[in-house]
Amino acid sequence: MSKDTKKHQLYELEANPRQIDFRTWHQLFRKVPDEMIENTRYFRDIPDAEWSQYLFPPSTHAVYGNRLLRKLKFDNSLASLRLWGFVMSEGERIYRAKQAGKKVIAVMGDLGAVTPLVYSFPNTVAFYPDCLWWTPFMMESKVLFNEAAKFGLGEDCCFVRAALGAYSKKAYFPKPDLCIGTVGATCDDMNAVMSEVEFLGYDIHYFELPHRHDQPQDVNRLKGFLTGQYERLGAKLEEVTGHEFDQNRFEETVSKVNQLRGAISELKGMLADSESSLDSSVRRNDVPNAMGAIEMLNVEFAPLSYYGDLDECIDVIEQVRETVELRQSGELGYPDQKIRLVWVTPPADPQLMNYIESLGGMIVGSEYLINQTTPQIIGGDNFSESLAGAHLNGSLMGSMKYRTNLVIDQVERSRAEGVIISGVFGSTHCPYETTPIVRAVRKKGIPVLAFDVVAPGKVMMQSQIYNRMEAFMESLKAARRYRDW
Amino acid sequence: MFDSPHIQVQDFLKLESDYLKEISGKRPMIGYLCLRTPIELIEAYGAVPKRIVSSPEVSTTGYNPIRNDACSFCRQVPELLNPEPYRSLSGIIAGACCDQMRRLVDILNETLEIPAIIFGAPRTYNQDKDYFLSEMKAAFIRLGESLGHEFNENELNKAVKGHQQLRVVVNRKREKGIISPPLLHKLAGSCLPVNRILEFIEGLKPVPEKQDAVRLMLFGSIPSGKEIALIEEIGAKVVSDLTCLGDRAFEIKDIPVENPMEYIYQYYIELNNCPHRRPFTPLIDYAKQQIRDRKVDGIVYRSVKYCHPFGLTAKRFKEELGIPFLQLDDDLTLQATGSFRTRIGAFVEMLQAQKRSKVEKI
Repeated sequence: MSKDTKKHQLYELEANPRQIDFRTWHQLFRKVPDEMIENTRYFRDIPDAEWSQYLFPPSTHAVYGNRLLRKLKFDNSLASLRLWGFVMSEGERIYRAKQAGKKVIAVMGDLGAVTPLVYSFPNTVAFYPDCLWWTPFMMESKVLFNEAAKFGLGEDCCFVRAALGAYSKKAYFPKPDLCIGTVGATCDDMNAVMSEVEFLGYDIHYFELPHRHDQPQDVNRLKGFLTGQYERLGAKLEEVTGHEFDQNRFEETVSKVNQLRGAISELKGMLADSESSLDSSVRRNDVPNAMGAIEMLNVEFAPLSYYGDLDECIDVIEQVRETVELRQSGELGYPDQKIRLVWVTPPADPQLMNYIESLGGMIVGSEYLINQTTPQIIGGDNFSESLAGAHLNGSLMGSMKYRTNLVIDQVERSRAEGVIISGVFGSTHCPYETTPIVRAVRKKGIPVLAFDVVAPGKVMMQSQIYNRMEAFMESLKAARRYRDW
Repeated sequence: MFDSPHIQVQDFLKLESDYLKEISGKRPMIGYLCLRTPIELIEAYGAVPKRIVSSPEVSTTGYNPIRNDACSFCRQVPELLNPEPYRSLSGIIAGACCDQMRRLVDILNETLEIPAIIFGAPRTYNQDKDYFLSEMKAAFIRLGESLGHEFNENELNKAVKGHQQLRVVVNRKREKGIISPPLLHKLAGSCLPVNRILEFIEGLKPVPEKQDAVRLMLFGSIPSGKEIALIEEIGAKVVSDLTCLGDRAFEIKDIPVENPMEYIYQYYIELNNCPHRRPFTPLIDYAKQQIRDRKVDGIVYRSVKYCHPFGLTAKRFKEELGIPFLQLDDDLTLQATGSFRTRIGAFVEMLQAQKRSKVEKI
């Protein structure tokens, strides 16, 4: 982005943070300079790719079928506009990658751990089929769920079953050159999806993820095993991409991945620490919310596959970070969002986040099952060891105590006033983890609201969640009034 | 002379109950879950292995740390452990099979006063054997430490040979129609020493056989004990039982026994066929083989509610196995029995009609 463009400080877009709907974005979009639209592109390594522009208002993506966008509230910054454009153009980007001769690799079940290795091979991009779980919500459609049901994956399976529907429909992403499926100490719903994907004729390279006991003596043996898994995967990627593994390229990729992870970590830290120091003893926050929860969800999910373009992804996330930094330095943010909340388990339905924000909540911490994407990868001569070391931080592969502690860390760090757990009915981890997490958080004196996200179209059930959110927020506000008094 | 399946089971349960009294306070009893747990190793640490199996008599309506959208069996386990015989357990051990089993043991570890130990087992085939073997050994060392018992190699050798012999005898007697399917379930979950089981089996007489009965395969998640009784009550016959308390628990696998630890690894870990393995085509092939060998007319496929390995693969099995297939799911309560009986009744009638029409055509 040129300096001139950066100087273009439009009042509506930069200095007046608020959440706006898609119609308002449509109008505001006229104020976005043409130069910026032309220069916001993915796959910058491909010359003269005018098709790779992605700075569009959310209404464009709504027209293409993402009907939920008509109901969502978006942050009004240029950084957010770019982030939404980047996220929503991922499907198109993967098709373009295939057309441009890049290798397209589907990574499933690992939640972002193996992706750095995939990007270490030239002309290769990754995408994350599990993330299609939000497509039925975004499109307000049951097509993918109905398709998955034809294979026997019905409502007793997590929303990730949408990925199976997408594989079967052959219209949501191009045929992957390789599917990598992580199985073992991870959710069995995705495992069932992978199995059916294999019966559909796709070649799956299985990555075995053993259980982590969370005892000190366990770590080295486990790291050794994972190192072996990464070596096997490296060999498979060499075969599929036709390129030998290159240590220099790996180090370059790791450096970029660390930059991305660092930016996300800083961004999360800014929101978690965004409390007025004068009031910290009474959990009082007067610093307004500087970024929307859905935007932050999109940011946190970036390390899963970098939305198909690592270099551009870094730029997008860094722009969001700069925006938050700028807002916080000017004590700017959304009005009336003050109740500090930690969100546990990512909601497939993003509208729930908007709803809690409209009730006065701000998400200052999260545990989205992707702790393995947070540590800096420590480089070294052996790429497999480096990746295995980072992988050991996985949220799901270990004991429930480990994940509970991750939640407690978030609560303590952000001095949250409440915790929201959005579970998935019928998934393999929620029925077991929810009660221990609820108990541990309540033991700390923090109220918790736990519910299951309901599938699109179930309006009556959805309204019950809204009722519960309202009651929860009322009780948190009452608690705050009591403390103030 | 014939034995009644009911009498066989009653006699066996009496024998087991006497044995439990005999060992009470003298030998520790270890509960185990899943077919991936080597019982020989429990015996090698001087303990008595007892399979934790479901029971329709145990309610899951009380307070439970596990939510009701979890596998009904896993959800039942915390409450199964309250009454005898499981109340007397000194520990619990299991190989990590499906994700829910892994999490169940985690919950038990947090809530019980006895140790609940899980060891990693591979989902895929031909993985790093050394790692998973060391996982298994480490788990049993922890178990031994908690019991204050040391590993006894002679006991291991004896147990490996004993269980191998038991499998051969059980399969032979099954073929001759001497071991009834309900008894098979009890044998698979038994804590009796091998020599006593063998002694009991030797004294059995064939169970009466109805020649024209519909021949069924029982397949799916861990059974609750009521399924076979209901099927046989209707007049059908379970000729193949591919649940984890049936023929699969006594499967004969061609593995050399020179190195007992190696044998155990191969038998329980590497060559264990279950739909939680990836791919699970070996289990499909095994089921096809059983259908051919035992001339199966139809399959009763019963998955426990929210059991992902069996519940989410039902349709796949139906397509791959290609014979009449009745899919049921069950929350392991007595209330589920009525609908189970009705649906099996209709299925068996349909198969009987098919059989009759085939005979008439001939």
